[in-house]
This record gives sequence, C-alpha cells and structure tokens, in this order.
Amino acid sequence: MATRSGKRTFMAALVALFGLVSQPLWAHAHVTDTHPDDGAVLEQAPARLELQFDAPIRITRFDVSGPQGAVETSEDPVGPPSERHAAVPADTLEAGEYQVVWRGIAEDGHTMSGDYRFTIQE
Amino acid sequence: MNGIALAGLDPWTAGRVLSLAGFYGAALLAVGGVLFRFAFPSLPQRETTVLKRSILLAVWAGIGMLLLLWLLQAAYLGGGNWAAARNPLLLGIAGDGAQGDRLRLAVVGLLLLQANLMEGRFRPLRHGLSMMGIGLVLLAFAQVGHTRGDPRLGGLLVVHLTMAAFWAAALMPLYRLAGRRPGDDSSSRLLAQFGRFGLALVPLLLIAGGCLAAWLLGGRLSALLYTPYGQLLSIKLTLVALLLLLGATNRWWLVPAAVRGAPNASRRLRGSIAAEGLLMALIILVAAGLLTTTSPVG
Repeated sequence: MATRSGKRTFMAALVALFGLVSQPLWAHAHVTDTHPDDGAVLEQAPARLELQFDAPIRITRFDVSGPQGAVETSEDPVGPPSERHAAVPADTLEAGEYQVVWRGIAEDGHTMSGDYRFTIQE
Repeated sequence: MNGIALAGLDPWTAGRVLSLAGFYGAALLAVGGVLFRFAFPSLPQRETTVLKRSILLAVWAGIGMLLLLWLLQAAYLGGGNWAAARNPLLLGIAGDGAQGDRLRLAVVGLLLLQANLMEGRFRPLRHGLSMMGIGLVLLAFAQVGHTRGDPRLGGLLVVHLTMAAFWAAALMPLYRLAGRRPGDDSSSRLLAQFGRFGLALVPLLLIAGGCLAAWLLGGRLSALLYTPYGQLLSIKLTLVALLLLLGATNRWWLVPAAVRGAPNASRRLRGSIAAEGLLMALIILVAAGLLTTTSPVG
C-alpha cells in the first residue's frame, strides 16, 4: 500500500497540476456561416470565399476547385486561430460549379473538416 | 455543407482512431498497473514480475502511439498524405495547443510511472514520482475536448479514468491468479479482495462517467438516439452495461465458486475475465472514435 508521505505527495501534486492546467474553457467550434452560402446559385463571381465559426479555429487546408480544376487564391486563410477565414481568388471565377474543402483544428484540440458548394451561372 | 462534421472515416481518420485507442489502452494499463501494485502490495513475486513487465511495455507502447498520433494528425491536417506528416509547420500545429499539451503531459507522466518499477532505496521518492506520473497521465486525457480548461469536467474524467484504469490493469493479474491450482489461499484472498474493491470502484466509475455523458449530451436523453455523438455513445454505454454484467457475475458467482474449488469454476472465471478484456478494448476503441469523429451536442 502507498505510504502516507506518498499519498500526501500525490494529493499535493494533483492540486498543483489542476491549478496549472486550469485554463479558460475552450468550447468546440462549429461553422456558423459561409460565403457564398452552401448551394448558392450566383449571377456574379464572388470576390472572396469565407468561412465563419462560433469559436476560433486554425485552418490548415482551404482548397477550392471548379470547372478548370484547382483554383488559385491570392490570400490564403491558413494561419493563426480565428473565427473568420477568407480567401480571395487570384482571378475572377468563371461560370460553373465550385467546391470549397477545408480542414482545421479547434482550440480544444478537435480536428475538423468540411466542404461547401456554389454555382456561378453563365 | 458538412459544417459540424469533424471528420469522415477516411484511412487517415481510421489511423488516428486506432492510434488514439492504442494510446488510451496503453496509458490506462500503465496507470492502472501502478495503482494495482499500490493496492495489492502482497501480490505473489511471480505475478509482480509479470505486472512490472507489462507496465513497462504499456509505458513505451503509450509513448509510441502518441508519437504516431502526432504524425497522423499532421498528415490529416495537411489533407491526408505522408508529405504532410513530415511538414514542420503542420507538425508544429499538431504539437501545439490542446493536442500538444496532451502529448507533453502524457509522455512526462508515462516516463515518471517507471519510478514504480525500480527497487531499492528512496522508496517515498519513487512512490511520489510514480503518483505524480499517474496524475500527469490522467490530466493529459482532460486536455483535449470539452473537458479542456474546465476543472469540474476534468475532475470527473480523472475519477472515471482512474477507476477504469484500475479495473483494466487488474484483469491480467486476476486472469493469471484464477488459473492457479484450487486451494491456493493467496490467490483466493486476492480474488476476493478485488471483488470488494469493485463495490467501491463501479459506483464511482458510473457516477463520474454518467455525469460527464449527461453534460456532453446537453441533458437531453433523446440526443443518444438522434445525434451521431449520442449514437456512438449509446454503443459505448451498451458495452459498459455488458461489462458490468460480467463483473457482477464474477463478483457474486464465479469468484466464490472458484474460491470453493467448484468444478470448472476457474476455467469459467478465466473465460469471463478474458471477455471483460475484450469488452474493454471495444469500449476504448469507441471512446477514441467519439473524440476523433463526432462532436458532442453543445
């Protein structure tokens, strides 16, 4: 059985550790909005593509594909944790169907992924 | 749009679930093994030797699984490829924040647990270090997910995992003790003693786990059926119910029969303990899936 001094050491260590690791509560992040809306049919090409969350998340991938394949972006949302991430297409998007695929990690350590689609009419 | 889905079950996600389950299993066996040694200091020498070897194996398997998980997280975050697993930026992201805190606390804690395996002088120091190792490993579990930064939820998880670790690590020594010849007083005494431990262990395990589950489901029982998280949690709860049934069968029927030397009782008890081990492995796998692939209600 553990010695009395060992038990005391354990309790003291546990209390100290709880103090050290007590941090602000980090809620899990969820997507609250996208731009354009998922499934939107647009008459004009969007100037930017955006993801919004209810808590900060660090985006690690933001891939846009369209009728010509992968779409280059002049601004990349990969970066520090934020509730809003935007990408700006390098060129005006042509008519057709587009898909945005993303991955990231929330501040509570959960990895996340998702996608959304939109269409630009002729 | 697939906004709240955390991840689909692609090969990289499956790999992360398996490596996380491997870490959970190994870490719980290492922590539980040390707790078992504290609770049962009079374990026969041969069993002590086997238990110490299994703790050492669990410590290094746990560290290995954590490092593999780190690489797989980076690979997943980079879109699912091995090049991303070698990308310093992605490795930095996967090793930072909540995941990084869990990695660091668990590795230090697992290394400290080895103090329990040493013999000779400085016994209080060895006990203190190994107990600190237990604390660090258990706290590591609370670093990722909804328990992060919430001492109440983290405390509930630590209590839940302490009981689960003790139970999981006890299975191998109990299995071996149950295989000893009938009439071995020390084995009978230890088996009966573990049964008494179970009377305190099970309620604590259930109360802590039940409170956590209720909080994560937002207090709505219907979430067990109608949300992906609740459905996976329902599978875990079903497995736990089966585990409790086996535990109760052992406690009130098979162990007393084995102690009396009833025919075939030892064989049945060993079979039941092996089935408990299998159920625990499945529970750990589902728990890893819960954390990796779904999101609680809140």
